[in-house]
Amino acid sequence: MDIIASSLLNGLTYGFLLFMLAAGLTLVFSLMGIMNFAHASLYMLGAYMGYALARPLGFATAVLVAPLLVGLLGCALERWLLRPLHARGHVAELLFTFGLAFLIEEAVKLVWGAGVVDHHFPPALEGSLFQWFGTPYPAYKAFMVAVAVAALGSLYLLVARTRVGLIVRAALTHPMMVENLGHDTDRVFMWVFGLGSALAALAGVIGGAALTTEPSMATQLGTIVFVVVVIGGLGSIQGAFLAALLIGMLQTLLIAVDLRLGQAIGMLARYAPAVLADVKVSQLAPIAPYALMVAMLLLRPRGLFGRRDA
Amino acid sequence: MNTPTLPTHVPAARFAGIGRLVRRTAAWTTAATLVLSATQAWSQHTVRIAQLEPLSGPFQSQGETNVRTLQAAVDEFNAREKDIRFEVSVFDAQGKAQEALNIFRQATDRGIRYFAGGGSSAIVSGLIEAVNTYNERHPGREVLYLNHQAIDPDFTESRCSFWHFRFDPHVHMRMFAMTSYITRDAAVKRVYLINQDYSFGQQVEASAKRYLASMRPDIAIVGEERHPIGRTKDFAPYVAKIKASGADTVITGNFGQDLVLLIKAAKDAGLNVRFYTYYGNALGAPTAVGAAGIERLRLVGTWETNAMPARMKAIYDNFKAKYPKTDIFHTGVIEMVGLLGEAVRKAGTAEPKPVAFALEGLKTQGAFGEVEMRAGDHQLLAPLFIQTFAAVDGQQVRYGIEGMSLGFRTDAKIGATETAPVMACQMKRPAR
Repeated sequence: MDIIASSLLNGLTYGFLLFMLAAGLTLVFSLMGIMNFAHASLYMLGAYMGYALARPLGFATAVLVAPLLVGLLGCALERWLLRPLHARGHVAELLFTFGLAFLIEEAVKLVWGAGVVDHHFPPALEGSLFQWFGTPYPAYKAFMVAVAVAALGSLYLLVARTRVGLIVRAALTHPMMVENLGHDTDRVFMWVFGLGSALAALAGVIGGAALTTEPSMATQLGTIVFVVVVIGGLGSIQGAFLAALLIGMLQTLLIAVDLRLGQAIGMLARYAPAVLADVKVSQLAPIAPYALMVAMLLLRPRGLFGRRDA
Repeated sequence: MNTPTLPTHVPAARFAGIGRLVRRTAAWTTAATLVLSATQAWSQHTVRIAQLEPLSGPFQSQGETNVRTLQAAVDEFNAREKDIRFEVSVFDAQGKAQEALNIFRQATDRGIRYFAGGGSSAIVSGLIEAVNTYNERHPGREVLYLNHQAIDPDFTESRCSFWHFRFDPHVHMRMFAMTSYITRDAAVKRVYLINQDYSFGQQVEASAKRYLASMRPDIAIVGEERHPIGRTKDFAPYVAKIKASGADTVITGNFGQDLVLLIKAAKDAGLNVRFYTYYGNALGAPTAVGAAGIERLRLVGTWETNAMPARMKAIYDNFKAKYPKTDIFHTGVIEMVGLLGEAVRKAGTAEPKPVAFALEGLKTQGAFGEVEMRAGDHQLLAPLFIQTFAAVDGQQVRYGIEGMSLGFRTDAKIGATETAPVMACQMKRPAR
């Protein structure tokens, strides 16, 4: 019982980190139709910026400033590099973000080296906040969830309740009309790309401290974030939220199962090959999200809440 | 010798001209180098080693540390010995077997006869096969594979080869040393095994079960877990499972990030267990655990910072002067340089086949005591150390690790011959 309880909480926490990352990706996609392959690299850049800033300025400042800087970088990338490519269609943009991911990785290695950097939470967040079925729940995990909820709550309010959000949503479906009404859609796109980058960086400052900050962090978390976005439905924030929690829970709960596949499927085991029956259920956990994605693409290509097919 | 002059008529602004210029300069430089080396050849043996390491991907930090350690060892050797000279060419094998084989092909074409590194046991396995095949097809131009880190026991047992030498104690030898220390640690009662899901991790798991059953049958193994290598980011679920099992000790062969994240998650969940590891002194693990690992993080290894002889101190100082935040974590590459140098001197040539025969049975003063390259299976017998994480006190813990004021105290030294495995190799030797 204890293990199920702590697994649920772990899954929830991991899910929120995935969501923070997936939200920016799906936001940019919904508005600009760009699958940003460099999104996870911006997450990594956020982690490194956070590391560099936390030294002289303290962690709290780093959490605020690093996303700001990466957000501005995102704006600049959109304004001077992505926008000229826009006329040549999505393939050019896709290839550009793909190349950008490598560029950022190499740049990070040049500046900060190939090893792990010591980016961690301040001592105030290292302690445990409360006991959950006998296991301490670290304060930084609670902080992570709180930041995710705050960031995404304000994102929701911004998009759904403000005038700016209205223009953004209108620019999504009717860019020409919005332009004719006197709004600068190019600038809207730029800020949205910047916002997505800032969200990734925010996830990075916190995720980098929670996991590790090193040059391969982008590629490692990048793939799983794509899975989240595809399962949730391309461009859907609610979908990304549900998918992130679903994948977080699925992975942690499968690991908690202490059975071999043969025992888990019971009577059916008679028809399964012996090699397969001997596999531990926990060994399947890492594949589960990808299996789920394949199943989703076959049965419901638009994902949970998507409006168009992947 | 005349200094070659550059042709002056080439207009530097033209690209074709520059290309020609570069080619000519390169040709002249090569010619000059050849003349220079020819004049030295009578007095000096040059040993060219191709070092293949994962310099990109999840195990990059491991590859980079190996490159730096080998460089420090070679620098120290070249400064000390005048008659033998090591030259190392570094290649990025990217942690991929196919890439390692491509590099092997290119390097043999360039006339390199010694190969080291590769990465994980899976990649090294392919390289050994390639070396065996190459030597069969190119008699008189044989190459040697020097294994400094891949510790899959099969390489010196069922799959042993005359052309392969291992300079690092393998999985079973290390586990034997670890278990013989555990026999003295009465607090170990319930053990959890967590390892990477590939040949090396599986062998650590099997080895632990075998030795614990025979040497401490009272210990209960309360769980076995394998996770994907290099891809698990969140170890919290695994730690929850370890906690639920009621284990007091975790044994793991994890290295690099897989160890860092495991230890960090254990710290967060307040998992109060001892960690017996293979690589707890390496690549970020000490930083990740910090003060929470004091008296809890143990390892079995070959490197001993507290008792460095002059030669190791020179290598260590050279390394730390350049890379203060990283540390040497094993002696594999250092033993390789020392033994190979001695074998070249004994053979009187840098030709791989005589050097291989000279290496067989070679006994010498290694990094931290007497070592022996067993003739029967080409496995190095070297002392192993059981070490525990503790604060630097200037006595038992003399140096901090990764720039911290925490380091490793040595609790036991297991002599080179004590861990000697049963010979399980039927070596096919070529004619001399």
